Amino acid sequence: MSVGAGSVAPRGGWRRRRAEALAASGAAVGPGRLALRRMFRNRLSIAAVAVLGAIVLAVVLGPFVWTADPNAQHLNLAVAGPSSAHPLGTDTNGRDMLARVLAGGRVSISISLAAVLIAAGVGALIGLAAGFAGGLLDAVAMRAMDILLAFPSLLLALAVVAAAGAGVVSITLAVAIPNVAFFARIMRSMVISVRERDYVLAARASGVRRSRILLRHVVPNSLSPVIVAMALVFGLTLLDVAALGFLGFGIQPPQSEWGTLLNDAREYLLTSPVALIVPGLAIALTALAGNLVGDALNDAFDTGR
Amino acid sequence: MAPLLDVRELAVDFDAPGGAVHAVRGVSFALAPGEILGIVGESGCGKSATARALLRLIDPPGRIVGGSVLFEGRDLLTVPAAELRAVRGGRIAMVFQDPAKSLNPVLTIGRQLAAAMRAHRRCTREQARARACELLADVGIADPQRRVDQYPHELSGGMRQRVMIAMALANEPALILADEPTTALDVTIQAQILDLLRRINQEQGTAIAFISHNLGVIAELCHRVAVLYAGRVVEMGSTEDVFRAPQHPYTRALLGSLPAPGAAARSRLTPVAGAPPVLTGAPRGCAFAPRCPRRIAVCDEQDPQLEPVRPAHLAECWVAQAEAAAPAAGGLAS
Repeated sequence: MSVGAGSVAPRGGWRRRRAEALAASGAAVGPGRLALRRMFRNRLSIAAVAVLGAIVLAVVLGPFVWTADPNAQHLNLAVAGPSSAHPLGTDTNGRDMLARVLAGGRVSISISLAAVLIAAGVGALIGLAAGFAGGLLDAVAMRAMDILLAFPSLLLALAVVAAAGAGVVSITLAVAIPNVAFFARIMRSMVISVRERDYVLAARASGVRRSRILLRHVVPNSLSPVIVAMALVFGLTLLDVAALGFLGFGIQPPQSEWGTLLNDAREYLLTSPVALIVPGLAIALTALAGNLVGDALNDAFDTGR
Repeated sequence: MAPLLDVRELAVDFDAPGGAVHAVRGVSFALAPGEILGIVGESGCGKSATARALLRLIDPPGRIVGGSVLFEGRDLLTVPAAELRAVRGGRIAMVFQDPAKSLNPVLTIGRQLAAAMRAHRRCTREQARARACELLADVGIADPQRRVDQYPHELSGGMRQRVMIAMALANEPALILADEPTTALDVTIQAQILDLLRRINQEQGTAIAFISHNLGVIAELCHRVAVLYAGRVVEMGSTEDVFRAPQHPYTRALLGSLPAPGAAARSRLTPVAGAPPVLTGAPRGCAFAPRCPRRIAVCDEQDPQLEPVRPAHLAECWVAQAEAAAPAAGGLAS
């Protein structure tokens, strides 16, 4: 790390003091805490977590602070530039853009988050079963995942929305399904490697039941790459959600969503560029922060071994 | 006394693209209650495969292809899975080579000890913890109350191996299979672990099958020794007999390759000439014959069998057996 000589001494100081305090307390340091500690040693990681935290906080708490109704139309004020009443201006229907960005973020982020959780949960279960059981189940499950991976994710998402309609649930599933295969593969490869570790053999040799071995040894030791992938996939999923919205297959008006906002703003790009820039920036920044958090977790968990 | 463990003609194959590798080719030995048997041999001679096969822990591509493992009146190779699970860790416990890899990094020592106990009996969390502390104290870990809540990475290598031994002792087994338990440790820690195993053997009467490639360690700890070569027991007898009067040329070569304490510092060690055979296909004759300085015609033609050459001292060698049968005709060797 390239830190100025002047800043090294005090930083080393508090670090040493904290380490000593920890050692004195005699508390056991688990792998989770070790990973967190490693993660917060890197400034970029701290920044990424801070940015992502700030964005999430803004879209969750924002509507309570900025109480303008995102769907209230003031047609006399349509396509206005930024003003004190409307800091980000208004759209073609005279709706307050700041309120719409905040409300849209809630939708985009919660759909992405739900989709990641679903994809990771289902994918990890499939991977766990395939990796642990092996044989025919493994072969069948993995060929199914290969088929899933053969489709471009956005195309697959479009197909799902086309078939199931553009509701919140169907959009969530549409962006979740393409990622199931990704998580299944990660989990399977981890399970296959962890299954062969000596502590699994030791547990078998001490008569521990298979189900326990799976739950206590295999799953916890296989999860870290899945968690890393969740952060990375979150960023990509957000882009997918926005892409669906931009193409008009996502969240339907009047409800706001970042991709939909982009599509709307396209029409009056020249008169009110801020309406395009802000949601665009929000999408880019959130996706970027998600990726960086993923990288940070990757370093923290030391999965690149 | 009836043997505690009676292994007969145990055979293990590993399926490989070029045909099955016969890693263990009919290993027989017996272990009396309270006895420490050393199983010694070089890498790839089938030591670990033998140990794992005893508890049916051979995974594909390996498979047990024959023999029997009689333990407390049952053949472990044919008992149903539930019964086998009760024996694993209950009556026969295993200690592995690398304690750093044999402990789960995400669980505290206490939870892992508890898991070993709870695999075999019901007990509350508090009981398990108290017993875990007891076990840690038994194996000589200072401050067990604190250690029990720590993670493996917070312990030294020697301490981790003590934890593994504590886990093995959790259910008071009749037999401990120790698969190179000191190989990953430095010499002083090695000595401590050997002392601990010896103490357990003396105080609790636990029989130990101690697998190692280290002749010095075997000599120090074991009552009897079985020398493995190319998946066969080639010599077996009391530690004293085997080390003082080795009968099989392989054992002699092994002992001859050790550095002698009195020898000049720059003197060269004597290696065992040649390399172990490739164990695919069916070898004909004695597996050691190609490397053997005392080879005679029959060695290439027929498999020798493990037979007594002296009282309670067996060797699988045509020459040694011939010498035993006709002590006067000692010149047969050359």
